[in-house]
Amino acid sequence: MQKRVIRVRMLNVAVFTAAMAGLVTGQLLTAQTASSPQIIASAEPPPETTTTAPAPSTTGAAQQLTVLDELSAMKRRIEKLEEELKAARGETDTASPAAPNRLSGTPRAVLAPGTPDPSRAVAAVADPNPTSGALSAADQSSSQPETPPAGAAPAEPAVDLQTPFAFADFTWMLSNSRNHDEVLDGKYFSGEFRVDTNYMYDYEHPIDHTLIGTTEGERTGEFVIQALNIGGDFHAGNMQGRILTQFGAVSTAVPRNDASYSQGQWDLSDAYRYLSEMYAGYHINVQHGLNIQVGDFLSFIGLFSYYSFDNWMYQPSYVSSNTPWFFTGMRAQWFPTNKLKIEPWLINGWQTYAKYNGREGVGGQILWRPTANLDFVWNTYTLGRDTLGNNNRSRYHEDDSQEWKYYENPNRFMHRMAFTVTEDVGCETGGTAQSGQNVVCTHGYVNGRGPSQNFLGIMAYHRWWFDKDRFAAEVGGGVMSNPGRYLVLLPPINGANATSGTPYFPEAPGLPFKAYDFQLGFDYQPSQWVTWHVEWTQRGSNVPYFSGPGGITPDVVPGTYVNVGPPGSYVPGFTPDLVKQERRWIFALMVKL
Amino acid sequence: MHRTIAFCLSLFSTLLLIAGDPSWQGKSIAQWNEKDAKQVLVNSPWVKRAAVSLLFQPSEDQLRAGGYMGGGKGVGLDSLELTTLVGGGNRHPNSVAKKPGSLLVRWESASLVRKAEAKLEDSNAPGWDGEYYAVAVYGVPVEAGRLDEPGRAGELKRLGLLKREGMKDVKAAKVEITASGAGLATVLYLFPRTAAITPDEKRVEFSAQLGRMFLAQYFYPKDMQYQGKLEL
Repeated sequence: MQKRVIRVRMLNVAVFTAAMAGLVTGQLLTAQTASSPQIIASAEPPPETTTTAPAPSTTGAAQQLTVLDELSAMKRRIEKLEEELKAARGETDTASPAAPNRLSGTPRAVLAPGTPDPSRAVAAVADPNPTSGALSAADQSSSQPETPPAGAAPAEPAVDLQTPFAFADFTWMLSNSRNHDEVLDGKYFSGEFRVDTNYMYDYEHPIDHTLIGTTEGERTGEFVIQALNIGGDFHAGNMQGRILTQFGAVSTAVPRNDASYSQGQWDLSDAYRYLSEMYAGYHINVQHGLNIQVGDFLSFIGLFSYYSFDNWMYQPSYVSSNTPWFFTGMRAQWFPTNKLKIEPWLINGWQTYAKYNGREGVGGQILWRPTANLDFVWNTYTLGRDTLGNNNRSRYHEDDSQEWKYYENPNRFMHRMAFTVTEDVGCETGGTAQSGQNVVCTHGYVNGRGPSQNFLGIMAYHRWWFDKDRFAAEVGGGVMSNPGRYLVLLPPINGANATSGTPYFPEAPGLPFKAYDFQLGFDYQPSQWVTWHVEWTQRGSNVPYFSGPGGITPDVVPGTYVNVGPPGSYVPGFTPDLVKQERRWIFALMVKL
Repeated sequence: MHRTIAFCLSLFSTLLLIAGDPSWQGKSIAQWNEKDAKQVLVNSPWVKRAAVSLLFQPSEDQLRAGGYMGGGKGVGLDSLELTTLVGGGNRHPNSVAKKPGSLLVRWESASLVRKAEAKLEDSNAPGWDGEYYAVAVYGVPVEAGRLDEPGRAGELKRLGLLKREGMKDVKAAKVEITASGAGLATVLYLFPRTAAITPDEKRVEFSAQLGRMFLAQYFYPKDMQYQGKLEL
């Protein structure tokens, strides 16, 4: 019996030694049949999963066991990969990747910049999945009739550490578009198309359907094409350009808040009103990128995007709605790391097409995303002289936002939660002898000083996501105080605009304005490009400001509500119906392709 | 009887062990036949199959926020259906599973690799001027790697690295992209030889990012010797 045990042990040792000899020397690894189990052993584990170099001559028992364990694990991994590959082919409903032609007759050519690959179209048809192409690509060379088997996939997904803010998915953020794919994307142009429509039900039922104090809605009780944008990004090498048109209500509602074009000629308001973004720039390959761009570009002061599709809520709070949507000028975007952007601006003014007075505005943004779940942005605006006809009054503003995604569990119905907070503080200082309206940032009327003229505001939003982004719910709101009313959106009473002003709601030093708002929202997102949104919003102010039932349009001829005289002019016998509170429902359909 | 079997098996295993040495290792290069050359180019310490990972693909908006334009996936108008607007369909028609593949990586500057390529008259073997560590990635899909776009070589250069323990990462000094047909290309990374790699180094990691594809692969200098001489 004992002899038998010894013989069996010897037999086992001999078989084991034979197998190991073949394995570790690699001779068996060159077996011609891909299905040979020994081939698995040649797969080179990637660095993420490999900690030691393969030993050419392993003899110790412990090492043998380790090799066998690794061999077994790799075999399982290869089998799993093969199953996944089959599954992937089934999902994409494509034929097996066509094996690339041998290159014996293929002319060899270095791809010059911009040179189209003549075989590209063929490759695209043969293998729409680039990774499938990668799988079969190795034996393209005539010197590789037999290829080593594919290695296992890295255990951890690789991360792009070069491209700024590409190390994670930030589509969850307020002000970021949530679509992952572009419908229209090409080699030199990435197209973009947006439609934003709404119907608002105002409990005051203004008879002239006019909404006040927001740029995200102009009319109530009727269907409105809020915005329609067509354009996209041009990119060729390091050249960049972007154009996005804007049609719809925003093309009058936003430019009318800018009085800068009134100084001088050529009516830039008309020239630019149908373009929301228009700039060209150059990308310099230094550190993680440096862009120099000139034109008209979006401002993210106030966190919310100019485009409602990108936002959690349709009606932004005052901190966003009353601060700039765009700038005209130049900016540099410097990315010292892939998580940090430093973006200085030299611009004509505070949401202006032109320059009011003798000095440009200077400012900038610092954007820092340390993790996939955190976002910090600091916006600063200084020095701009943004009061029409007042060459000595300077504006300063600081706007900071934080966003935090604090919960993510894709396996749950309610799978994500995040919130944002934005704080704004700003002021104006100085004045002119002609106007006699010197203002100060703080301590107004103290020791003979003029009135204080400043802005304080805060807003906060929270969002929940459900059913793999199919649904979302939001709550949020904010408050603001703006003595002097220099950032209060002027009610368009009798067609008033920022140039004309209105005697019915003056905006001048010393006049108070405080307001609050809150919203409850719900989204149905049938696809990544479409949002159906319903929202309750309530806003209030310390002075009559919102449209009442009588509206803000003169009815000199009873029953007709039309403007009379020059925009914003006084109309004898007419008094706009302004109230202190507004409550409304917003129904919106937004598309972004 | 059993002793005899055990002896035979032991002898067989010993013979297998001897036969396990690649044939080209025991010969001078001049003595190599075609099979030897193929073995060098297919299964040797200078040749690896590197697993390819697909990096997260940011949208055009996210790329623009990061200072870049272009590079998103255009899924085409065919992706738009009635269900896109009202629901009930595939909300993310592009979201097919992303399966990693692998690419062949060859340490080209090793003289025995060059000799093997010459032996086989490989017209696809990349060429270059100057003294570099040369590492080639074969079979890169041109479209996925966006290799035919202007300025791509410059970007690849920044993203091609040789990593060595205790030493600063070495960026590629030059990158050459060569079309190899069927929508594929060979990407050659040339690294400066300023700090020579020694046989004592445990390993050298080559990593590269090609478009949204990322690969990383170890090479082991200890194994990359031919007739007692480090071949890199």
